[in-house]
Amino acid sequence: MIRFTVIGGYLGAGKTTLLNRILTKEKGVRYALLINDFGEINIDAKLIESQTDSQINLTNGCVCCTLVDGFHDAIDQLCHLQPPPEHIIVEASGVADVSNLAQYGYAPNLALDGVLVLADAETVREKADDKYVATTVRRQLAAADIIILNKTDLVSEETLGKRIDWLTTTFPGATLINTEFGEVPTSLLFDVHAAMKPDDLHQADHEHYVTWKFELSQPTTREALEGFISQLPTTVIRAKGFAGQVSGSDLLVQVVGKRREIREVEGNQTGILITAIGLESQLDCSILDDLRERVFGT
Amino acid sequence: MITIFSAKKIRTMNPSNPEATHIAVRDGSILGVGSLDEVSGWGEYQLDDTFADKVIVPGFVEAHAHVMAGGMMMLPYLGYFDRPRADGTTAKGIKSYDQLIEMLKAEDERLEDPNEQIVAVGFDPIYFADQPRLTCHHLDQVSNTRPIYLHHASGHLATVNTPMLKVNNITRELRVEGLGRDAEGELDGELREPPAMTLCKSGYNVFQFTNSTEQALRDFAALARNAGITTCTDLAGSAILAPKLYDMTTRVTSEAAFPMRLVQYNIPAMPGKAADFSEIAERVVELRRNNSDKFRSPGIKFVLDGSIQGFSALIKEPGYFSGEDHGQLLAVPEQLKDWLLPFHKAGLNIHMHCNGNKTQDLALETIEAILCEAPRPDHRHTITHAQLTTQAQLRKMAKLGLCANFFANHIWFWGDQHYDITVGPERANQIEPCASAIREGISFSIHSDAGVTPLGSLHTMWCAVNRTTPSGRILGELEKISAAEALKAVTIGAAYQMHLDDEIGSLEAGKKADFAILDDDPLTVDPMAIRDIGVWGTVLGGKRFKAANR
Repeated sequence: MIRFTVIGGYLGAGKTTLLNRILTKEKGVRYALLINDFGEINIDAKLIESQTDSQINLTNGCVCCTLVDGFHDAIDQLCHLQPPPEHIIVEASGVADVSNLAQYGYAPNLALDGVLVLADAETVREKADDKYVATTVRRQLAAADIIILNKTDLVSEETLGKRIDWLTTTFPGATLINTEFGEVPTSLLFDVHAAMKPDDLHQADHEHYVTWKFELSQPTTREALEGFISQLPTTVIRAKGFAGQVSGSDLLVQVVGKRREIREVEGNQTGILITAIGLESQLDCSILDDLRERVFGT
Repeated sequence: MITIFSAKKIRTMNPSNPEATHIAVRDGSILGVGSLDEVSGWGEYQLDDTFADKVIVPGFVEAHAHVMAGGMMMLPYLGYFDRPRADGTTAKGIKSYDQLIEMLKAEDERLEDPNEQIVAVGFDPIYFADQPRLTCHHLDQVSNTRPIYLHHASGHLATVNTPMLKVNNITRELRVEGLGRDAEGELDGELREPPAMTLCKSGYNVFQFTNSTEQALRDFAALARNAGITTCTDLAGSAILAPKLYDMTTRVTSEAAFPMRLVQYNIPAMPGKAADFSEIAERVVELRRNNSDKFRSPGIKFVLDGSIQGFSALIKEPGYFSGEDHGQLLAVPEQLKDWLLPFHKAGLNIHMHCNGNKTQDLALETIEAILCEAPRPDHRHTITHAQLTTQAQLRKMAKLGLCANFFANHIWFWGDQHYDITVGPERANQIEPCASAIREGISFSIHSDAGVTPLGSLHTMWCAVNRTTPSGRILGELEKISAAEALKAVTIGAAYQMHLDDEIGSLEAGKKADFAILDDDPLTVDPMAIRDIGVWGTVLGGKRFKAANR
């Protein structure tokens, strides 16, 4: 299964900055990026292995493509690259309906990881009432599993507080990350493997996040697990884990912002192992401890 | 060699010489229009009396159509209204699910290979609003072994049968939102929007592929010829996005027997997506340099929103009358000026798809800004569809020198739905405001957007003149126009907005000898009979092209 992420956000929200960071910083994961326009990204020439009109192959194993035909054809082509990518990241156009695009991630060979929507702290409130793009901007934010409130350095603390209040009340449930210059640990946003093995995270990113772990030697029930993940605070950016059931197959837990899934998988877990991560500045681990105790009594 | 065509009557659409009986042609161009006496002085000639009992009008100019109109009619047709096929026959409209099943059963029996799938087009659930949705269970009655895929008229939906779900491995476990389900969560065969439709690869691909074949282009031209159309746009051309198709189009249109002039306005990029528009403008200028007698690329097309009946057009307050607003703007307002400017500066003609009037506000504001930055007299940029254009917008369009291209066929095909469902009585009565455009002095055309509705300029004229809906309603008495004004719209009015009015669109000395040959005079028949006038065919560049059924 190839993981699939959609990055949305209105003009100026910082999608390009984030894409550049993915392409240039990540090592080890073969990302395939489907972006709007080569003109907007800025890839170091030394990183370019080969290039055609619609595809750039990077020395770090990543591939970057632009959309020339429909999304379906483009995604299909990416899936058939040799070697196949591990994770497809689609940049939505500034006015795209990201929830519709995300549906491609439910195709049989893909696994939808999440929908990330960037918002420009300076302009998002105004755009959300704009004559032309109000519904577009609101629809994008409503579809987000994680909202990245970017360019927070450009607004006063008071304004920032207002933006956060507005976003959390208007689009409840989504995880909200505040950042400047799109500086979110990209491995946290995209790389589920790295996120589960914190030591693999880049040193620079390392400072920003905190990991919370929960291990239990007894099996559980689906109901208990559902109760647990549905009550996770929105400051959890990602969580992943496995659990054995008292009866029945094992359960896989995946959380990306407000996207929370439990799936039955094959395995022979006897207990529970769940890891959650969030930003150090936002995630209060004692809330998770309390939740664990309430749900699992330990 | 000079040929003089005689006719019962010639309507020239040249206001200075409106009627004639003879027209002299040499090397594909008109030498003179008048009486035999007036046009016979150019030298030795051959008198062609083929049209002695016909009425000649300028060859119709369809200012908004798509080559896919030819492709879709190569497939089984399940639309609600009758629709002509390229061979001159008529595909009957489907008025009930029983008819639909019957029609598909006939197709099933016709096919020899039991595994060959059926891909059909044109179905529109809006005409079956009082019935339960069409599902795989209906289609399974046709065959529970042969895969069947119905591509809906909107392009946003498909309905498939159980075998089609099976061959594409579409199961209830898949979580794509657009998969229709019954109350128990079982798939019901409806696929909404491309992420779900493309799961059904085998069916979806046939539809896409058919539209890009050489045969689609040939059938498109045949449909045009059968309707008296001598110049037809392909208003979402793919020369930028799929250059191979451009080469094929160049080859096919250069054939002497190709019965139509094709005017292609290309899509610069996937709608809504930014691109290097300066580079694309240069590319279009290059394409324009390759213009040939029957294949032109005078400009560029921008799609700025969705459709009214799909609730995806961006409309002004008070919004949609009923139904959920799915308004989808396909441009970034802050960038639109920069997107359009390179084309404007390169002297290209810009056609902007605005179905909703809020989108149209954006287009007008942007054009105003462009004209302030780069004044260009006589640009003739055009708002195409322009369905819900308000009076204020018409006044502004007149000042900006914009042309309108109204989707007059909507009055018939969705007029009742606009009145009852989408925009309500007041705005439905003002839809496609042709008479107001005349009052404001705006040059306009009217169109079919084929294959959304069928090619047929007489039908489109009929819509604008009578404004009648299938339920018998008159949609806005005060927006009716005369037959003469409607004829102008589908000839010289259309030619004007493509900067082709010195070559085509009227019958005058020096212009192309392009005629539509009609059995009767659209300006004198009962206005309700305009769409029933028989079409013999066309004359294109002085050559006769008979309709398939003649």
